[in-house]
Amino acid sequence: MNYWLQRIGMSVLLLLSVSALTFGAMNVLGDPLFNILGPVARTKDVRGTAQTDGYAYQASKGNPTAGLVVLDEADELASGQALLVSTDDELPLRTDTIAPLDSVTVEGGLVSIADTVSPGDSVVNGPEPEQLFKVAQAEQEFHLDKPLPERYARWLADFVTGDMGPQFSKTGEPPVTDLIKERLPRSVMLLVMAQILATAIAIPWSLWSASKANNIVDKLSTFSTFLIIALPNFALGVILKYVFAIKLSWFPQTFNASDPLLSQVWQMFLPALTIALPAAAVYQRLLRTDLITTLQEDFILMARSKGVSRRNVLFRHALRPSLFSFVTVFGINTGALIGGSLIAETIFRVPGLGSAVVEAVATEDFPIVLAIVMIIATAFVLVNVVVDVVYSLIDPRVRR
Amino acid sequence: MTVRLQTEGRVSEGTLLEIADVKTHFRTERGLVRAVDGVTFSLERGKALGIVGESGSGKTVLSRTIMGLLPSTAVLSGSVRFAGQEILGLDARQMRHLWGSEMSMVFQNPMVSLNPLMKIGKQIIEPLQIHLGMDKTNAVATAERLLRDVRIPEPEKRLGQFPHELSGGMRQRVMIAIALACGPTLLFADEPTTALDVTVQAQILELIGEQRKDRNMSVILVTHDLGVVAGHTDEIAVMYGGRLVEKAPTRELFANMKMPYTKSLMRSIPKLEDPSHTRLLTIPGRPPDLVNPPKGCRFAPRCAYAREKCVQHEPPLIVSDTSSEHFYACWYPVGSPEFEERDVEIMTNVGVGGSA
Repeated sequence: MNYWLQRIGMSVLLLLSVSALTFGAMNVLGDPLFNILGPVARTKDVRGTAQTDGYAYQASKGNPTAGLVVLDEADELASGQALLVSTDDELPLRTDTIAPLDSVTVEGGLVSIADTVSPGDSVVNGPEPEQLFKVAQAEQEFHLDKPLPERYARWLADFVTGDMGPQFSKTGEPPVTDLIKERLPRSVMLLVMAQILATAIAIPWSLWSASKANNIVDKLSTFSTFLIIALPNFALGVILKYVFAIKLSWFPQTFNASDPLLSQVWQMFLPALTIALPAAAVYQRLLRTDLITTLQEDFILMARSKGVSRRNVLFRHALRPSLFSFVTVFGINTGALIGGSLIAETIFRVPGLGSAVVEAVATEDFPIVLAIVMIIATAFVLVNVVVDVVYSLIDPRVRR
Repeated sequence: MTVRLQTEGRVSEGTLLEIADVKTHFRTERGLVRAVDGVTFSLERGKALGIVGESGSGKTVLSRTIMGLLPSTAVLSGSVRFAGQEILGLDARQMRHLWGSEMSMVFQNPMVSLNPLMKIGKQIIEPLQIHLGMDKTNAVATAERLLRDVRIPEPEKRLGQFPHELSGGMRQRVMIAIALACGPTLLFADEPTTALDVTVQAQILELIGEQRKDRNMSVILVTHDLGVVAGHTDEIAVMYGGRLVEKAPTRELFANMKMPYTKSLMRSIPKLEDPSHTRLLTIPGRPPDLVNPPKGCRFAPRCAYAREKCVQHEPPLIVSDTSSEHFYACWYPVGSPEFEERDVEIMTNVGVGGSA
């Protein structure tokens, strides 16, 4: 009980650290406003000048379409405050950069301005009011005007309630949550298929090769595992696509998300195989080595001396004690592949998390990146728990 | 060719095992290791033979050669006849019908010889299902009875336990239960007590002895400890450097041991009647290199009684004058004038009274 509490505490702490790090990095190293608005975001850096002397005030709070207005007569201003400017002055951009106006003491003083403004005859060569409005709106919508810790807290609160925020790049549509809901199941399906394939290939292969340790068959299989591992994933994917989809036409060349589920599974076979083969080769290396070690144990000789057949010695006695490194790496792979299957997804045009993360990084769409980072981190945490449970299922001595 | 022996074909008395000029060599990078180099003996049904020797004398390899449990790198020659049938060189597929059913082995270290991830019950049931074709219920009942036979308390509870939940002594009892499961006619016990507590050692040997009598089973007890075989065997074979150097009925061997090597083994056992802190005699040097064994008697380089002839010529295995069942390979055996002459010198030099 205590153990599980500790585990959960650690997992939560880990996820918090991952999210805080990613969130901080993306906000400090990048400019979220720019990613949302593009060049428009730059308008907030544009300063204007007054064409005639007068009082400047920011009307955007009350009337967003208005920008900075320069007034001739301070006397006309009622409530609010404004700054006396002359034509050579650089005008501040917005109220918050003017403010606090009451603290500014200028010759002629600060004057009150009216709620409803009679338009002045002077215009500012400053930012377009609509653009400034967009900036202000975006800052408000994405809380960019708030300090970083508060923004993190807001994001976290939304995230735990299942709201991953709007997308930055595509005018906030669809919300990131919907995008993830669409992509995640596809990536999970791809991952599950890949891992099942990899295991189905690796276990018989390693048993076969360990039982023939160091003879020509084993050496050939070692060569093939290294070939598969050394072959870059995109090359493998392209080869598989060329042979099985283009030449033999056994499989469709690309994925179609609108097809029924069963045919989607069929379409996912080649991308899954692209991921599975290198994984299977790694698993085979680990399993083969562990099997060879196990086969030298006394209890294997004991099992043989009982008359257990060669096949059953391998399957019933040697396999289970040899699974530990395999299970460990299998777990790590599961976490890594959930967002890292982008090569296979790209080659076979499967719109999954991998391709989503590539697009999001390219457009610096932080909410999507952050959401996927969190999914991968959560997957790691969950898989680790599962791996520990599997350890205890394999070996009774691990049980507590 | 089938090797499955029919029950009616089993040897109930007479010779069960006959081995002749058995050689087991291993090809290594250093050269050919002659682990067992021409051993001949036979064993009657129901009798216990002790094979004694230091580490590296070939005793374990010999027992595994007889059972056919060696890796495929071993080069075998000679003859092993079990119940009248030649079994040397049969492959594992043929041998496995004998393994567990006709001959079985109790291994040295019970801590590592039971599958740590398999429940005790399942490990005992396995040979019962393989060889006797028992269904699960039957096999479980038999397993429980076997555990009771080897004096394990609460057998029904043990069946569901894993090896790590049992003590070393208990595990060795489980090993014996597994070995006995299908009622083999020949049991190999390879240093069955070496890894155990001294207090448990005697119990395990007693247990093997009892089961031997109850089941009229032959036992080959492999050990480095003459003391272990003394009370539990009918015959003793002493091995050195892959060869048989002395063989005799147990009583005869202890009464008239001929090989200086056997005598040295004897002297390295602590005795109750010795005053405390008596220094045990060790055998100086190391066992011979089995790739390039010495030219003459293999023990000569370490033998305090060796003379020129021992180094030059290998002594044949000859019949003792004390008993027709006693064989030894030595030019100057214990009791010969040359031996006695040297013994007086040694004993006065060392200053230790050796009475063995």
